[in-house]
Amino acid sequence: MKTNRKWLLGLFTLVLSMTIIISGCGSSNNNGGSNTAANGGQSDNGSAEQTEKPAEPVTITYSQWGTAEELQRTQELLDKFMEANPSITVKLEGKDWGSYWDGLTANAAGGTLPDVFKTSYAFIEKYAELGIFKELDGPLADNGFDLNNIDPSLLGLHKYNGKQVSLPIDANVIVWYYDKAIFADPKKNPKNAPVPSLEPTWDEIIDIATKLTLDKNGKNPGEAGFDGNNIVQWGMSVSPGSSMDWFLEPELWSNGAKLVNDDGSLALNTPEARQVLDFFIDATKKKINTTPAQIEGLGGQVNLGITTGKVAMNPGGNWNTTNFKEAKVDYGITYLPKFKENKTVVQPAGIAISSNTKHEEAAYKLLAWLAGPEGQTELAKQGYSIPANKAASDAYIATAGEANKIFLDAQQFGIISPFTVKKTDLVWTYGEQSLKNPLAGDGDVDAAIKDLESKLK
Amino acid sequence: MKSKLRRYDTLIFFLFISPWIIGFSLFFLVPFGTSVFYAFTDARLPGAANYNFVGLSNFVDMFNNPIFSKSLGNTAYFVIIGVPIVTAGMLLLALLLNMNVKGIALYRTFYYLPTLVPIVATVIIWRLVFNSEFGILNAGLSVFGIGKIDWMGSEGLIKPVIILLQVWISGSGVLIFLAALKNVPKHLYEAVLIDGANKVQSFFRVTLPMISPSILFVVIIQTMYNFQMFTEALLLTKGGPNYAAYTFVYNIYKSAFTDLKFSMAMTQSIFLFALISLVTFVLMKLSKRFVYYEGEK
Repeated sequence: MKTNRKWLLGLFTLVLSMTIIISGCGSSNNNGGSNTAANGGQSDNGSAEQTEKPAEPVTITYSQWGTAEELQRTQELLDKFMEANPSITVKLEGKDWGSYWDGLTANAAGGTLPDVFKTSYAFIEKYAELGIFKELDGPLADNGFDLNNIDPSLLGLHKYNGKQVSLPIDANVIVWYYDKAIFADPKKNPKNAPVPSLEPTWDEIIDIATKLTLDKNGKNPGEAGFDGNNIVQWGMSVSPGSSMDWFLEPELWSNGAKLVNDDGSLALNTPEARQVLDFFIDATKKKINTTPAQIEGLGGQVNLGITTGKVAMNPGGNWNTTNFKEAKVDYGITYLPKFKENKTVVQPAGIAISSNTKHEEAAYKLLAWLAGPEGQTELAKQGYSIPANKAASDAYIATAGEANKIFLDAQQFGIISPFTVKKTDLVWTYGEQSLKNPLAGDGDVDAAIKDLESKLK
Repeated sequence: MKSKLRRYDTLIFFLFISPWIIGFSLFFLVPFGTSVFYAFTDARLPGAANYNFVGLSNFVDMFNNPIFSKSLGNTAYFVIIGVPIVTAGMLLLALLLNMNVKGIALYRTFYYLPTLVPIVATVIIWRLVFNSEFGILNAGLSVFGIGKIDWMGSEGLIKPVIILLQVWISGSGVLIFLAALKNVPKHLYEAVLIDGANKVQSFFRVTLPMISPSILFVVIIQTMYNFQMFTEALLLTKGGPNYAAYTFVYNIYKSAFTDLKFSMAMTQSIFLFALISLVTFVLMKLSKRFVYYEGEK
């Protein structure tokens, strides 16, 4: 009896463990099965059957980065798409910027990429090398997608080896923001510094920032008795060492220098480049600009400095207007301050189809809708993103108003500096580690540049 | 009959252990084997269709990479300097919490609470506490006339800050030591007291030997943890400044998810596995000389 019980218990354990394993495998099989079934009309059974039968309902996933508000706006767009395409259900998967790319890599490794996903021009080459993108030239031509409405330079940033792998959907641009409330408040602006002009030079900005940097006794940097250890308000907040791609690079170009040479090597050792680096080091040492530790204490994001009420001016992207509105900041906008010429960065985000999607037709429909006139007009009507498709420019101006026209105008100053794998390494792997502190006046810049040069080799 | 019974027992044994064996195979052996395989290839992703066998070149590249050396050095620091400090900290706390004072249960709860907070939240709290500009630590120190210290921006200070954080969240180790301390028989203390030993002598002659198995356990667990330290490095300063907190596992993560070189990440993982195995083996061997098991003769 006792042995029987042992047997039974042993058998039960085995069955239980096998059930767990089989059910684990089974569920994925089932999914696969249902996917194939839903997909049957589209890929397995050939296109002939598709045209005869009404489209079978399919569910596809669309993944993108963004804040909760941005994701909500995307959901509204997707709802409109689903209204127009009732047989397609789109599931939105949203993440923040940092975890989005880790997630995409993990999905690529696990073969579970979303059908359609957002891309950044900065990562096209890197991820294209992994083979995660479906080439779009064929489907775009087959469906007669009008590419003439998208700027060739924007399209170029979403190509890999001459082939379109992603379509630009918005053209983000970097500008200079200031908090109007600080300028208007005599307590916060005792020297009555004027708001910056539309095309400010750095001399102008430094002059304003000096007047707006106050210690606890209301004194400015350079004044006798200024207490640099007890600053309560900063004139400006920039961090060239941790915003190399969107702030330092256009500033280098503005002074006739570059971040990377055409061969991908570091270009920071020219006199023009060193002038720019020394300028920011000097401003930070004079306490007119925030240090990395101060930025960390102010929330960690240099482009949101003015939301703290303790920073008068900072650089940021057009998407930051959402953050400023949320924080109820009355902001003003100018072009990025210049050394010699006006320069900025245009960052076109795009959308791509995964190379292993099982719902190619539905995925293409979504991509073509989001990047085409309909989706782009809807995007423009929301008034937050700048559409990449010119067919939607009027809708953008109509919604966003004259105040935001600067985002369209600023694009003429966009530098043309494609992201190579080496540049991605510089900006996101090595640059911040080596340059963040030295560019804030803490550490040896020469040694840091040499170190970076050797790492980039 | 006897052999039949033995066979039957063996079968029962394997039936009972099969869930573990299956789990171990699926979630350890298979991934481990895959990692070893890919370590000798140039695959950008696991499961990639296109890859070449590159022999030992990943290992050569790994050792030639200055960031790898830096991360290895940092991890060595956390193991060689960090583990003894954290273990000593745990023991000290356990000794304090073992005292017979009023409200000791409350203190024990307070000291264990940080362990219940998820590590991510703890690290974020520490970022606020240790911020040089607005952190409460520097604010507290300024009362004594000490100027602002850049705790997280200084290459020399970031590692000690992380070790301090480990002591802060060391409640589990403290709990193990506390249980071990409670298990030391009272009569041993009475015996050494009669022999004329003072408190320090009784600690070194009675307490330490009696809790030495727990010390070994905590040291091994902490060593493994510090070899694999990741969250603290990522969330405090992203491994900075200038790679000062760039730990071994953080480097593996960067190799895989930023550089998109999974074969290199797997090479590093295998090296780490070998390193941890070796150190644990040495610790176990050494332990025979230092650890006293009451049950053994």
